[in-house]
Amino acid sequence: MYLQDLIFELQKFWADRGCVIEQPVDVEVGAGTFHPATFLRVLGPEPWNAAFAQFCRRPTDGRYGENPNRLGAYFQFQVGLKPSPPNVQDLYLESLAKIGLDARDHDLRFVEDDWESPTLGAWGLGWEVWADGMEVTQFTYFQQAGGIDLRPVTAELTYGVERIAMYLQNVDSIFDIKWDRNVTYGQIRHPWEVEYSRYQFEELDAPFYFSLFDKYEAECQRLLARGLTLPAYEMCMKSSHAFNSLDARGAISVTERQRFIGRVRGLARACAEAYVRSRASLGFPLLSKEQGAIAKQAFDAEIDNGVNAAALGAAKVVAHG
Amino acid sequence: MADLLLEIGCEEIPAKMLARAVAELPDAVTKRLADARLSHGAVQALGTPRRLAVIVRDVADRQPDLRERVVGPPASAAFDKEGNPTKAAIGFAQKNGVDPSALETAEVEGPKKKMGQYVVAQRFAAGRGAMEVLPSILSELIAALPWPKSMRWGWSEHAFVRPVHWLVALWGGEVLPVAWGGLTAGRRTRGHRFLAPGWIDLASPAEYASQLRRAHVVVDVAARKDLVRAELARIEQETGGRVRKDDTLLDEVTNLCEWPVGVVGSFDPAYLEVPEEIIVTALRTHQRYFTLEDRGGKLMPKFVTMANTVTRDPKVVAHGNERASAPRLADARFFVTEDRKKRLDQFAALVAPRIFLAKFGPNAATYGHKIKRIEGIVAALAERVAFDREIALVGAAQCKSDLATSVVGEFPELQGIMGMHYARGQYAPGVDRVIAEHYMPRGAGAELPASAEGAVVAIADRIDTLVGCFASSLEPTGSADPYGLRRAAIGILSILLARDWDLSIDTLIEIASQQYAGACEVTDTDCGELAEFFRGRLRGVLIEHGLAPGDIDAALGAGFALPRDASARARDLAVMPSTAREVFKRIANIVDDAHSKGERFATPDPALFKSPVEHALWNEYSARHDRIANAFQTLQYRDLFAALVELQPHVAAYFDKGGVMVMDPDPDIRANRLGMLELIKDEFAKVADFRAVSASGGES
Repeated sequence: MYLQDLIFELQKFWADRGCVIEQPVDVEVGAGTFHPATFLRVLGPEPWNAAFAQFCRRPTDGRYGENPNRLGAYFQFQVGLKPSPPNVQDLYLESLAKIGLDARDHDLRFVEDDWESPTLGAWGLGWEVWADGMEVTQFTYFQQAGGIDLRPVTAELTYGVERIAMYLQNVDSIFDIKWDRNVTYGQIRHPWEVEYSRYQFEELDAPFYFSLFDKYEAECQRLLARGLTLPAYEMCMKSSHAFNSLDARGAISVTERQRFIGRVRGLARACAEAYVRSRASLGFPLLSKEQGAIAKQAFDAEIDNGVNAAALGAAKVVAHG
Repeated sequence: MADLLLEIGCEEIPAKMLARAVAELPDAVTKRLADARLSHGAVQALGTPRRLAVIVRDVADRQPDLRERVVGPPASAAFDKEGNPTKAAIGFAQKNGVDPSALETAEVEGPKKKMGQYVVAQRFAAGRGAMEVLPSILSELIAALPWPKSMRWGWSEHAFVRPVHWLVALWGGEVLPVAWGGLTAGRRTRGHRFLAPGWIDLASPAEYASQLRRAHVVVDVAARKDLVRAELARIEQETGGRVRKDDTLLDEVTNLCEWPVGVVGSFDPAYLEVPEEIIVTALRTHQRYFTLEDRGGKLMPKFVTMANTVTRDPKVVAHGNERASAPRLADARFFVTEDRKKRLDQFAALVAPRIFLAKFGPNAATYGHKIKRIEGIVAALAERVAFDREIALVGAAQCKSDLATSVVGEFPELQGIMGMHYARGQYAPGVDRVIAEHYMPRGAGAELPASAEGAVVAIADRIDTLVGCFASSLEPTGSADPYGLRRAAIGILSILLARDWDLSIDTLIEIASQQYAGACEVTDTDCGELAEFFRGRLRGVLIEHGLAPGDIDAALGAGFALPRDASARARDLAVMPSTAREVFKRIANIVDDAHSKGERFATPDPALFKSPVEHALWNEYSARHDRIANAFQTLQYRDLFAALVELQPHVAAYFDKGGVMVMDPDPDIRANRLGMLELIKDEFAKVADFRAVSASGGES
């Protein structure tokens, strides 16, 4: 199965099961979790089912295109199901069968792997899913994001498409993956790996990025104060990537590292709270009109106790309504 | 009565949490049934990744009736001036189902453990049937299971280790309507996720394990572990190799499967040039694979994975696992190649500024500081015990260097091992062993350092940590021991017990304290507390060795600074019956008591003896004096104690009716008698304190 067919199959599979097929976010991110379709949509009581492929940058993992198993950027296929349906494991296993990982032929396992993103103030419990000993998916029940308790809980499935493609195509190097009939992954991605490794490790202008980080941070806070949650969150994503870049460049000391992570987390938290507030003020539009109205009412009634308490209050009336 | 079954059907429970839950469940169930006054037989917990279950044999049909006296408010508050029950009394009566007129007053222990006049009622509760009682206690049991981490899912308001999908609760053939998390229990369970995915109706608890077995689920952990072992044995047969023993992995793998199926894979033999510990660790950590060795104990280029299913073609699974593990091995080899580009002392320079324990203060906190102190201790020990000073010092200087290597960064459990490999060829033979062995013993009862140099550095590293922590108020409290100090002390004791070194705990503490001079204050109180800490650990170690607690306490009471000596005394004390200990204990008490009263002690003069028992004891004692002294000198404690046992009847006769009164009114006779008793006491006080009781040696 070609890499692009793998993505098509997954898109089709999840679209047939009610997922919106979103597109990748047009900002540098380290993981699909940063996509607003995940990080923001998991907040609050509104349902949301979406899937998308996301280009993810991990500057520290770059290897100049020389390591057959490591990349400075790769693709995640991410599915978010909110609330997590009771049969989410079965649905997921069905999707694996669709792309050629059938339980009758392969040893499929759910092996404990808890997930945490200190920069997003987010964590969840779940598994890494193994197919014949190979990790093919991160399967997480999101418990918290931006420091806010999540009700309902979103199930997040993150497929490592390159790994799966390598396995299905029986190739030993990521760069040998067939993207389609004619073109390999290496032909498309290898020059990027080489140049970006040089850029991130050797050429990146650290003072410039430090100033970018400060500016993104300030801009995020300014925009939040102006009630512009979505652009503010974009600045949060950008500050996170600036931090990752500085980290890869070796420009951040061990002690400073924690402080930078804390600064990004502060932004993520503020954006998360602002987002839930803005959804409440809109009457949680993805709920039915009546549910949205009672959820807003419950939210407003609790808001003096903080956004977390208000969001829990809104979720409670939706769950029982 | 009938058997009880509770099953909680779940999404995949993490292996370690499952093991813990299965271990703790029987006690939790037993306690709840006891609180519910339902008698029962054996309790067995079962579990797989997809279920946690318990079977209780012979649960009684009914609770027994309950009749008990309950204490209410103070009598003064229970009746008004006219003697009518007050509101408080009426409320108390109603709560306990008795008429207010039936209340009595009695002199009983009140709520604050004080005796007084209180209102009491005779409460009666008719026993209820098991069908009525069990559902609620089982619901509560599920809700109260103590998972280290739990989660919510969907809209759930309740939390559990992973989402719960079904509940089974049966008492005999009857369904117990246990309700939890929006589910109500029935008699339907599920088989293996892929091999038998349908529902299975259970007629009774008795058929639980067998029905599941038919559905490709081995629900008993021990039985499943046996199956894993059998699969490993089959693979040994097929490959001619031997599976490397790994009990931790065995336990984990057992709890990653419902239906274990062993699959062999191969890896590129070229990787065998990498130190094999790395291959074994990479495959076990990342892949949960067992490794195989040939008859000569050499690693084979093969691994075993325990699949959880039967597939159409096992070769596909084997091939997939080979592909999955290849990058892991490539990474491991890459790390070694990178590490080998530096010398070990270059890593030492990288490790030196790292913080070992910040609490030690700015002049003592880094690994660099620690290494300096370890070297100081080793140098001081070289004056006292025999070992190759140079090898030990070089080993000490490099013992933590590998913490900065890529391999140890990836696999922390290979600390010491990688230093050993990297030291080869760079340093004199023997240095490599020191680095590996200074972490030994790596656990309770684990292998000890074989070389004297390894043993010395192992002791130095640990005593340094212990002294530093006691000086920085980081000693263990309760069950919390974040710096592994109990393990460190036990490590030192195990090494000292196994070696014929004249090296006392006090000396070690003193030498280690000196290394902190000017950097971190170590007080006499710290040292004293640490010594007592060692006493507590030594007591534990000797109990593990099977010695009697009473013997250990008596021996340690007479000193524990030389653990090997204390251990020998404790062991040999077994020859002394308790009656003998009693009479010598009496001597010790009399002598100490007299000392505290300022009595005079004289050198015994037989001319002042009045009674034949005095002469007898003196003669018998004198006849054994040289033997006892000699036994003490040559550490023949068994003979020393045997001599005391022989003295016992004479001491007993001395104190018995018809014997003497030590505290004679005549001061000279008194001093003479006390003098003789003190001589005898001095013979045994050095080897055993018969007054020491176990209370003094408990956990500290």
